[in-house]
Amino acid sequence: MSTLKHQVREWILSTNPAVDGATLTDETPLLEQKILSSIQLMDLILFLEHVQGQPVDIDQVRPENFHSLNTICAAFAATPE
Amino acid sequence: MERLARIARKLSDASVKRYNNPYAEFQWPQDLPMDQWHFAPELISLYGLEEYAALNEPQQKQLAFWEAVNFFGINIHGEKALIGGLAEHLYYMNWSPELSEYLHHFLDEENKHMTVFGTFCHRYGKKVYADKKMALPRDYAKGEADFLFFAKVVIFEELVDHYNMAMGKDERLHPLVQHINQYHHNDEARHLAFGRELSKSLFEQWAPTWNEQTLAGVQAYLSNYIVSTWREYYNPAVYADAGFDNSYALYQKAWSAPACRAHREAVSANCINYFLEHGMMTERPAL
Repeated sequence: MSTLKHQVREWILSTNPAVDGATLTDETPLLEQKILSSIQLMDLILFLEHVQGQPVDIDQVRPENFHSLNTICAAFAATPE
Repeated sequence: MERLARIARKLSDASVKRYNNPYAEFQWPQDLPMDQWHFAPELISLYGLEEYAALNEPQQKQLAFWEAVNFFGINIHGEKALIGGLAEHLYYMNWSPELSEYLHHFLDEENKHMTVFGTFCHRYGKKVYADKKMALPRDYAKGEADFLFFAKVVIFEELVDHYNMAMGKDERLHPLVQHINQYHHNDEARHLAFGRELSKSLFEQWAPTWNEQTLAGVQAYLSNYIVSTWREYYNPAVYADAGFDNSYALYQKAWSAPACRAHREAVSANCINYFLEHGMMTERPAL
């Protein structure tokens, strides 16, 4: 698993204690299953900026890019992983 | 809607009487003196934290400047969304003509506010902090989207107006910053009166037709909106620009600090009480 994906996965599990780590896959639909709320998305964006040490591309801040761990990493990884 | 039409007519008259031209009204110095306050210290998002207390006065003033750039940026993004929604409600369905007439003033005033905020941010901060709020797609019951839009207008404007009112008359601040805050407050008082009446009227019209699930969704949506609006006041980019090297940790600490939560609750109280009093919310959001 890529570093960023691992970090985001850990962030999701730490901010959502109700989520079972065993069932959270790279393709789990995070918005559809209400694992991420709109408020948590704002936090997640700040977390992404923090771990990557640079601002996210604001044009990529669109709901479809937060569909799953895979889409988040594809849209926001500062360097291809 | 008859009462609302009467109020809209009065507000339109007031807008005509107080019509202003920000392009002539504001003088923009080339630079701002950084040894002055540009944001009230007690309203700085880190106020009450030991990290804030440990700063010397020039550092506090530097942080205050970036807080001002952030606050005006919050206004820009909020008003940009507002302008889009207001335009959609011009000549809307069977709404009375008085409402459209006032919406024209509302739009005009919001557009002018944005130019003032934008000039400050670009001229002195050389940027507008990015908007990181994102609306998730959802379905709406009939009338729900209209109500939620104007309820959000009230929430957004109540919060910024608290800051505007305080800073518009705060003589510790640079006169330009005082002027911007006072200028915004002068128009916001009318916008708030309109938003409060219209959201209440829409709720009274449509809520009786909504089922329990929709009503619970409205409560959750408004609670989330208040919290996410407040989140924007705590911006790690501001802390980084002010010279903190632990800006993300500071953001997390400030958001969770009891003093900061107490500030959010105090500033939001009027607005939340209004929604509770009229049944538009059923419980206080956890801020």
